Amino acid sequence: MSFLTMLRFEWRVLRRERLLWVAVVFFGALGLYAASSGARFTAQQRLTIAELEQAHAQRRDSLGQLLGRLHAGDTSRRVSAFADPRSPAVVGRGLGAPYTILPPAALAPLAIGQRDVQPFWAQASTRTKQTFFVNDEIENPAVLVSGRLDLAFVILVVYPLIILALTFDAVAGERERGTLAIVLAQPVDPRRVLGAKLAARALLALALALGLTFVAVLLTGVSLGDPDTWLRLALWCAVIVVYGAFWFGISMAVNAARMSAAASAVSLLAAWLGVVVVLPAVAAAVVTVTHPSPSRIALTTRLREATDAASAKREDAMASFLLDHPAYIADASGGAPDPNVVSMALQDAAERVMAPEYAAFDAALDAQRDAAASFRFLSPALVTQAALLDLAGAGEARFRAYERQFDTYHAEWRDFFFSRTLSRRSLSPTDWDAIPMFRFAEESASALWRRLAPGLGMTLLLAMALAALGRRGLTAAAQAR
Amino acid sequence: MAYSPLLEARGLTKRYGDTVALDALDLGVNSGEVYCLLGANGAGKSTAINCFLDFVRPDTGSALIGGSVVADDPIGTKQRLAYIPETVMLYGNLSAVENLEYFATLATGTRPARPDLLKHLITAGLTEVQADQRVGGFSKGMRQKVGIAIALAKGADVLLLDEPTSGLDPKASNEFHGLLGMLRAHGAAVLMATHDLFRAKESGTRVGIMKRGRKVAELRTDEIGHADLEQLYLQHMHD
Repeated sequence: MSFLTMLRFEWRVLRRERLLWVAVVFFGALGLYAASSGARFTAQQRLTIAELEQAHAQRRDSLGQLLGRLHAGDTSRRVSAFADPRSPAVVGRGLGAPYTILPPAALAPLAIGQRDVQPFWAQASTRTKQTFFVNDEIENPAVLVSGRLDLAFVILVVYPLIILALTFDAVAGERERGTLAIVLAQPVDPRRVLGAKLAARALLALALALGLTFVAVLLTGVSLGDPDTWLRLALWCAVIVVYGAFWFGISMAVNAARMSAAASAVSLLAAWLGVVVVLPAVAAAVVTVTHPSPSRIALTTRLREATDAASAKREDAMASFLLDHPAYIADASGGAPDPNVVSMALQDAAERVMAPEYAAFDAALDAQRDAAASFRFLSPALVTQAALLDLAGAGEARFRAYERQFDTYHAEWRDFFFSRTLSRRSLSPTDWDAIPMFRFAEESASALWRRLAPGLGMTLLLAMALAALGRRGLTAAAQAR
Repeated sequence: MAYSPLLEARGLTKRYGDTVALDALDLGVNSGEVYCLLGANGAGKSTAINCFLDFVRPDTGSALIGGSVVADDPIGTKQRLAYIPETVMLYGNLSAVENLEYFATLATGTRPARPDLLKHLITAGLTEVQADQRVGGFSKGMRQKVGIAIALAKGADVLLLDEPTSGLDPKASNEFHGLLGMLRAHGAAVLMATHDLFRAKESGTRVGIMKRGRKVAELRTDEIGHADLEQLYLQHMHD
């Protein structure tokens, strides 16, 4: 009897069971709700981004027109020094500055992750980055603890439960109901029959999870024009397959342990609790102890002190700044120093003091993130969560990439405006058009794959080891009594 | 070979810790014979049957079907064997035909056509309407009939019956033994554990009385009357 025929019989039996339909309805309804929640959140982000871009376009146009008139010598309107589009210092600090936007990724509706507590936009400015690019102060504690309901969560937490609910009594149930004796009186390899019983059930759960993903993709309007999106979607499905294989392996091992159906249900629930809840919590607790979060409040206080100290020693700050910028002195024609240059000097002095502290702060955060990343290998659930979030563009890595790209852009922006402030050049319409713009560069799918591969490989190996263990035990478990 | 029983136990021995479940059991059942194992609960009747199914591996000795040692070729020996336990447990959500289709496919490796399945069920005593009903609602007697139908579909010539009629009403029991007679007439070798001395005498060709894993008596049913069989049985139980 072919494996496929056995699967067909199993499905016939399963189809008539209420449990299956309860599972389908529950999983489907929860999944669709989660997908709609992800879609709502993403739509909100897109709306915010559209509004920001529109507001910026309007400001940019009106300032551009004003600049054109002023440049042409129109003096009919008085322009405040703080709103003068000709001043590189004023524009550099943020007058009509563009937004640096981290757009939702193609598969964004599938996972929210920490997107709701991470900034996805900032306005360019020459000010010290830490004063306006703040990434973890608007935390909603409830959301931080529970996370938002999204499809990634449903796959991470509920999908294993569906697999376990469908498979926990595949062997013990047959033994307890007495059908196993009739099955095993037939000339078949018990491992093949029982393997088919388990596989039929696990494949159903897998089909449910994959089906749910496709329905979610279709309903939430993910655009499928880009082959890169297809690649990510394929990887998403691969993650579901590997994670499912892991739970199938666990179920197979427990089924092979020859326990009663009730005992195997309890064992599998314990495994679920351990892998999905306890291990991740332990990992988080350990990381918090070994790599505590550096205090952002302390950092802000230190910055304030450094700024005050620099203001108190304004002459010193100015002197050392001018030493570093001899060209400015060469042009100096005496008189009071440009207040914009003084402010640059003060900022520079404060940042010099703060530079090692910023570096230490970032290093501590990076060390924490790296520790968390290596602790992922404790639990396939953590590996899977990271993979799903990464694929939907809601992961840590994408946010870090955004921060790094922002840093580069920030430096470029400062350079553009500081150099013009120092050389006392007012902005021309040509300059205005040359103002640097930010565009987030998405990580390539191959780089993403390289990051996901070790975790997925580990999960797959675990799955195969468990399945092999289970397969060995199935013959013994097949004993009818 | 001059004497080659379809079903044969050679010195079958099985211990569970200090308990001896089977103690050097020897028996042979030929084609067309119904061998009834009698004995108190725990005498080793079921253990003996389970050895033929490879559900239990004997410590020493061997169970043979058609000359092959069961423990050496469990899958091969199951090809010609049908097993009917006290209650034939089936998939309650499936109809009798669907259950039979499943087990017959498992047994033969090919999927029988519906008319064939129906024919077997009807031969076993079910009606065509019953054949399409879910077995969840079947009585014990009806389940036994599906068990017989499985044996028919499989073309089994070795039947292992473990107290198949205990709990059946007299009419159902009578029907069951009628079917048994039919299978036997077709040349099946039947090994049946039972507590029913009357049926053992009526349907059986030979009986073996077991006690604490040992066969303490064996006789032909045509050599003894109902009352004598009961007398002999009780005598052994009292020892």
